[in-house]
Amino acid sequence: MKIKSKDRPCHFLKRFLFSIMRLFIILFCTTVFGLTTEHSFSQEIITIKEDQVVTVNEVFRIIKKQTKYGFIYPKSLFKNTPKVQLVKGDIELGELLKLSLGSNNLKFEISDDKTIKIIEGPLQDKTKVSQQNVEVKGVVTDENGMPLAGVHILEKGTNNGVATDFDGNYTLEVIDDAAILVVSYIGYVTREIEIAGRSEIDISMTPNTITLAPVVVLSTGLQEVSQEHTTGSFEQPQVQEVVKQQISDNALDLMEGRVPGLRIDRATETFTIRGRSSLDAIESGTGRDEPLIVVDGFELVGESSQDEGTFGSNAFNLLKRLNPEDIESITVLKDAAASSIWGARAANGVIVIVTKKKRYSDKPVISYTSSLSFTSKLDLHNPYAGSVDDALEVDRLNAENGLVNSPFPFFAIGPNSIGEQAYFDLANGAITQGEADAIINGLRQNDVYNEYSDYFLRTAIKNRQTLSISQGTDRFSYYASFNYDKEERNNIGDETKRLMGNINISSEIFDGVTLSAKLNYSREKTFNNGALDVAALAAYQRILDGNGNYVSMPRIHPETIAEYDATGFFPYSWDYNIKQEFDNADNESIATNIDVNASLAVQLTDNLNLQLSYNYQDGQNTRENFLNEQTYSVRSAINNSGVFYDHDADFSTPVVLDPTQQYDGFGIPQGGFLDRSNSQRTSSGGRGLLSYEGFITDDPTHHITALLGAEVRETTFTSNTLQRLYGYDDKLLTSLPVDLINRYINYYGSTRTFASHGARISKTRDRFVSYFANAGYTYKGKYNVTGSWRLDDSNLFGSSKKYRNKALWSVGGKWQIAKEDFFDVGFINELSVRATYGTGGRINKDASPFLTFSLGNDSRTGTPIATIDDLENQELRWEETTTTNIGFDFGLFNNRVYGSVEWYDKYTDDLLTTAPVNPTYGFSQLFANFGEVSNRGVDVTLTVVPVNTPKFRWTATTLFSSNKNKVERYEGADIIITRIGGSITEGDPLSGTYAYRWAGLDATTGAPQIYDVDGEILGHLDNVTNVEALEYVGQRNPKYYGSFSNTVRFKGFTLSALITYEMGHVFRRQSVNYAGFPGLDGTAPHMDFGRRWQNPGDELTTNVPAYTPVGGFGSSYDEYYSNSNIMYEKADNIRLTNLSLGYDFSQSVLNKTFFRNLYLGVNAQNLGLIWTANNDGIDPGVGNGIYSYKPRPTYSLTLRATL
Amino acid sequence: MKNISILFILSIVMVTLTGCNRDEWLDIEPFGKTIPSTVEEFRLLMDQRQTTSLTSIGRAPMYDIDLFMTEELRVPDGEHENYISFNGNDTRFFNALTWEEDFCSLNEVDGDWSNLYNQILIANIVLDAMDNPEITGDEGVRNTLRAEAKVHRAYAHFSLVNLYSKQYDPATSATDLGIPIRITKEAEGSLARSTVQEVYGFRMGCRPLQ
Repeated sequence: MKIKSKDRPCHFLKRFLFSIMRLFIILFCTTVFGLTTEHSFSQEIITIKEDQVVTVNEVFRIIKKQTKYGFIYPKSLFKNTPKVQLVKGDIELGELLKLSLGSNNLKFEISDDKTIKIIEGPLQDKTKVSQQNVEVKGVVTDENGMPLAGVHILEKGTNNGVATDFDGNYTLEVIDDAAILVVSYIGYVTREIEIAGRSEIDISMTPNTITLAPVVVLSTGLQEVSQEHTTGSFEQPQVQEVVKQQISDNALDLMEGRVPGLRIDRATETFTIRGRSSLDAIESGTGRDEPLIVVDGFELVGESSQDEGTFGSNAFNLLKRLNPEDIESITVLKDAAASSIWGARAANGVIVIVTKKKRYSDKPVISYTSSLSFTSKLDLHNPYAGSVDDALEVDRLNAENGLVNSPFPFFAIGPNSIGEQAYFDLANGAITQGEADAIINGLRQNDVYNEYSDYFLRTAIKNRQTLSISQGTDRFSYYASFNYDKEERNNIGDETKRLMGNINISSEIFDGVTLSAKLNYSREKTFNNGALDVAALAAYQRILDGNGNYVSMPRIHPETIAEYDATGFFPYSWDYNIKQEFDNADNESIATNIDVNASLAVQLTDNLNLQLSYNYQDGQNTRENFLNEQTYSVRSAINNSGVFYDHDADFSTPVVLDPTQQYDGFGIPQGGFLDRSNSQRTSSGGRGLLSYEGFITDDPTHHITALLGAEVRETTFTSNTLQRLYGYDDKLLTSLPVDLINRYINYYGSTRTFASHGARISKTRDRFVSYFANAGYTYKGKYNVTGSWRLDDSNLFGSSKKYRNKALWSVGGKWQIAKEDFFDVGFINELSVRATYGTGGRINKDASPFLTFSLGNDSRTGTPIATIDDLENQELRWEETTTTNIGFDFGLFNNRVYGSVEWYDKYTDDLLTTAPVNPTYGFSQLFANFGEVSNRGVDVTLTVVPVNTPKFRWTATTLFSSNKNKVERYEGADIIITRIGGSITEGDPLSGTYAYRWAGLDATTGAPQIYDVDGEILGHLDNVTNVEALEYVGQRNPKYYGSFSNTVRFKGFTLSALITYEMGHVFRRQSVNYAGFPGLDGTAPHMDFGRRWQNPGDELTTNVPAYTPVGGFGSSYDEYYSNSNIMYEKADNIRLTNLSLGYDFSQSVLNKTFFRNLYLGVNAQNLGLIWTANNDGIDPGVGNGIYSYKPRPTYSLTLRATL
Repeated sequence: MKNISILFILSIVMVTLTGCNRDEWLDIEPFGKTIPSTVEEFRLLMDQRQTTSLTSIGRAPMYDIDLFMTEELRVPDGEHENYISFNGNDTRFFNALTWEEDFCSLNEVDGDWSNLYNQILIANIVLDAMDNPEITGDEGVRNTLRAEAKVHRAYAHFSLVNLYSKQYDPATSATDLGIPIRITKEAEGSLARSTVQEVYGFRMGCRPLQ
């Protein structure tokens, strides 16, 4: 008998020892069989990290890795045995072995020296075998009708059995018609089925929720750990389900409403975990309290250095670099114990994305997904915008109140709108009442929105095709995908095409040495020729006339144009037309992105792994905007470069247009302009990681996970704006030189150069060195303690180590109560409590502790000069967030009810912000560590499975998060404008808002009034003297938010709905803004204009102030009204975020085709509000501005096929 | 398995190497920025006249608000609202024109005040650097810069005291409230108003190279 002992890889000394042992074991086995089965052995937990189909040999390898047990068995034993299907999760060792060996007529025994012996069971009874004369066959499927491979089917009471093949098929000969089949599979309820004379039996299996419900393997980005051994706050949404049903733009869509504590604000395109903890996010709107995003172990680097470590407002775009179809899992790290291993970037949480790498399959698995999404055309007729009649009324009032001028010789102001001009001419007697009426009534027939919609808008269509192929064996695996997206956005002329290729390869080159590589490449071409400024069009403007010709929409006074045209001097027309601009737009940008990973993993011992990895990211953006001679900007720039001004003349004398006066002709040659810019971002990083997982000595009561590593990284950003090419011909690719140096005096008397060269370059480079370690200890599988530490070091300009370094750490503990012997509450199957404490940081490199200069040249004289970049601030420090997290996890009634409750307290110190400073110090604002912010709250997840049968399964999940945000310290000056605009006020939430206390409209003038601090009424010309006059009206970010999701599976159908809600915040209504009226030029005012105060007595029924020509200047007319407490309303809302219906074709149908799986689905995203607290149905997410449109739903059709 | 051992050793070497050179590796200068270390660089700072940068000796006061109180600007009654709108819808001009008690609301910064104190800050930064032996360079340039900075600082105080305080009157100047005197570059210290006499005295006392 030849015995093979699979030795521990990588240790040649041990290998030698094993050779000796092997000899001994052979002798031992043939003589002694004194083996005992240890209780503790069978109960040891083995963690299966991913779904896989493996050989029995592989099962042994997994067991050896996670326990102290070795194996001996005859090499031939597992020849031709079916493979074993392992489902992600935890399983007891005894159970695993039983299932792996069960169908193979094998038994296992365990010896004192921790060796598991596999022996063949007693031979099958030949007489029974001879009686096997009934053949049964069929397909075994899961609850969705997916075939299950490796399911064990055993004739009850015998050792006669088989396992299903990859397609779920089985064939078994049994004794007679009365035989009973025992069908078992890990993670599923074992079924007993009477044959009852049938020869074909398709079997459907029901998942056993105990093993499936808790997701147990979590990725911290650096290592994969079993939840068993963690203490921190991890969330792992079931993204695979979402990817299948929903057509998502990016990974964020997959998480929406599925991660407690995560809030996605669609209006500002930002997302936060557990509240805002950054002050400068308010100042700059960059969303810097967004979490760090890690993809396959390396952070995704933003588009500029501003996004370093966090995200910047382009997080949505950044996540678009990943095709959601390629995403295997997303883990959200919320507290310090989970995230502090990412150190100085982890204060706002970490989102760890793992892409698909392999799928255990002998044969290549080819998947194809095709989807088509539609978003309906935007209806520009916004209910919040006034009508054409309102627009004409504004024109009339503007003309009557002196806001409309005849061409003004001194200032270059825009022309009057048609309506304004008509009323102005009427008032000056230039036209008769009849003529004016004719013009005005003609205008009333027009509707610019209809015409605009016809020319410039369409139904958005997005088409996505993904093809992937993957294969995996014990030693080699690959996953490759190819993706093509084409998106035609709502604005005609806006279009994106994207190609993306993704390859993941992994190969075990020697025993225990695995080499893996990832290459992700994408190329995106975007045309930005739509998105015209509808807000600049008068409500009654015609775009094309009846004959299809461009209607002139002058940018300067028609009289001025007439004067210019009369000279015959200018080569180009001064007319402007929005359609002409659209027809001639040629803006294109190309973004390429490469993300490469290479890693070498070496298994030094059974428990000790070394991983060396390298990551390189490279992003290039090039932009080319070609402006041809038809565009207004080219025509006017060239016209304006003509020198004709007699600058000795007095301003008051008529301008003499004389082309020969000073400059012979034009400074800019005729022809188009070509603007080009490019930017590049690179990031390269290397990491060495030593990790240990296993038991101390041979005692299974002490389990250790540990990690030690170091990382270096460099990122660079370069942006290049090239010099504009003048006189550019896009066919010949020629351009002409221009005079960039000489100056002339233009029509308005100011000095300028003919052309600007506009070239700019900027470059930043950052380097990081980090050291980190973490460790976890589990005692008897019940008590865990964890700790982590990380030191980040970076080039912070000129700083001493004192300020450059940041050491961050965490500690945590967990008690798995349900595993205690004394704990015996029948309906509670899972109960644990955990607590963590630790720190995280946030990098901000905007400031330097030293006085810094940037050098340059004076724009006018060209002499070298220096400007101050940063003022000296020796106290500058990195921000630090301390987080306490206490959580309970529970599972009741066999996990028919499960969930968790977590309480957190995040305190952020040394917050950096630009705060107003008393200008007497010499500057009006300063960037420094000015504040402290706390976030406290609760995250609750509760899942209930009301029905769970093979054919019908219903899962309902509720998420609830509360967040109490408070500015604990703020050293910036407290001035009214910050309180009104969006305050940082000590004691209030970061998004806290103050408003003026409304005192109604003045009874005689209809002007707005507010209360001062002492209750005295202030008019719009009076100033508030004290901040105490303001009233706190609430916060703009919700205090409570969460979701309800329901998924119902019935046979092959899956119906799911996601409802999200936000509570406890306010929004500001919009209304008339009179300061903007002089510039309205015929555009529609806010609908509230129709409800304005017009006659005394109106103040009793309306709060909308009377029309005023002085609006904003010299008074607080608009300011007091629009920022008063009556404008704030509750923003509580509930919305239907997603609804989807899908069908998985059943296996019996698919068996007749060449498909392995086939799915068809329909999906609707963004279905809008179900309920909102305000009475007018205003969507608080977008408000009720003239141009704020409600989000429109996107409908998608999806086809998924696997071969 | 020799390869493995070699790899392991290599990785240890790699990790230690990065550790050894950490400071050197991180000590990089950013593009487009410098920590000034010579008097010549401060010369360049004093040479710039741009009004848009964070702080600049060239951020001179506009005196434009006060212009609306003078005879030099003619604004016809009834049309002032239109005129002022062309000046950036600025309430301060309106308040000056109508002789309001306060020109600036609580929301606004008085550009004359902030720009003059900004000049004072730059002068103080330069004066502080000129006294710093680590800032190297030509002694002649150093003394010139000292002198220039003191002139700028004195003149800015002089302008401020004349804009915001009573005219100098030998009889009452010892008690008339002046403006805060700033002689440090740090954003700390008293902002209490000195008397008019103290401000004048400070100005005189700071004549270059006493």
